Amino acid sequence: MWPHLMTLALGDLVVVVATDDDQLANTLAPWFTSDPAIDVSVVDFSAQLHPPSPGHRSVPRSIPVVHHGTVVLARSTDIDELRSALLRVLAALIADVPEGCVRLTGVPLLRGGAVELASLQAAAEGSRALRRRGYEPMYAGSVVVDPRALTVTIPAPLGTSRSLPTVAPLRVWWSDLPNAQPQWPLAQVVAMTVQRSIAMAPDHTFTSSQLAALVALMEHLPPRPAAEQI
Amino acid sequence: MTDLSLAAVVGRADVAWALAGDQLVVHLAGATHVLDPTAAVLWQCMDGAGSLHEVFTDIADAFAIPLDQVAADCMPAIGSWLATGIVVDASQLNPHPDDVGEHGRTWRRLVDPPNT
Repeated sequence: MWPHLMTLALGDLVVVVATDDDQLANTLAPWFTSDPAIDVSVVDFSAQLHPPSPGHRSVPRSIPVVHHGTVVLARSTDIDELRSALLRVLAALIADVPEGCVRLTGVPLLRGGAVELASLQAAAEGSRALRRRGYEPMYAGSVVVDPRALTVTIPAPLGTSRSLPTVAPLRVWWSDLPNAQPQWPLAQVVAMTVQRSIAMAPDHTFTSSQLAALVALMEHLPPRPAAEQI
Repeated sequence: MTDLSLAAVVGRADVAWALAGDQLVVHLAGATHVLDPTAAVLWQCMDGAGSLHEVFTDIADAFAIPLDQVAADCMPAIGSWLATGIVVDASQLNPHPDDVGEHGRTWRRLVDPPNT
């Protein structure tokens, strides 16, 4: 189905990426690997940037999209934006998580120089809907949050070595727990939010330091309820 | 006291844990647990250096509780932690097995992508 099914070695992390975009495949060529020991049966990420045109005007057209499994990471009619999105997602996978910081999945939305970190469900809305609400999405899949400085680090797209990561203040972030109650103990909310730190991260890399950073973030800037997400 | 009380028990090296208020959150790939304040104290005492009997003795001294009661209260918790694998007998520690690829190279993978 996919014109390009690529196994990429990002340091010691391997990911399988599928795409229908020649330019994206060429950009990722330096990371190709063909170690037969790698199981390529599971596609980690897919970028369908050229969906087939509908046969008739009355048929809804598909919007180009980047997926992680079945989860939408980015959706836009701007192909370049989606190329950058996938490259940023890959860069985020291997981004350093400094001591005292934690990785969180989500969609960083820039507004007024600060980041509002929505849960990944926001990506499914698409760039046009987000911009209409005044947000500039910087699709990255995951970001690194410093709970003491309350800043977010969004990596530059993979392969653009001259670009620096974007560091911006974290204004607000939203929980993705639909039924979270204000009276729940902190530990319970933390336990139910851990998945946002380990999803889209290399396995065996979640440390006590990162868990403590998640607790600190919850204490300093509790997430807003999922029901209030933009 | 059971034979287990002579063992030194320690959290697995790949377990992440942190205090959240007076409770403690423990995460091991695939599962996250919340320990109540009493269990949180017990967890923090288990550094693998001393036997469980020594840990129970320290707790009994600190809280002025009979040693037998401490042991009776703590052993079920430790038994469940051993069963879930978040702690191990320190004398039986093994390095975590990794997938080794061609030329002996070790690769890491993402947690499986969501499929909903």
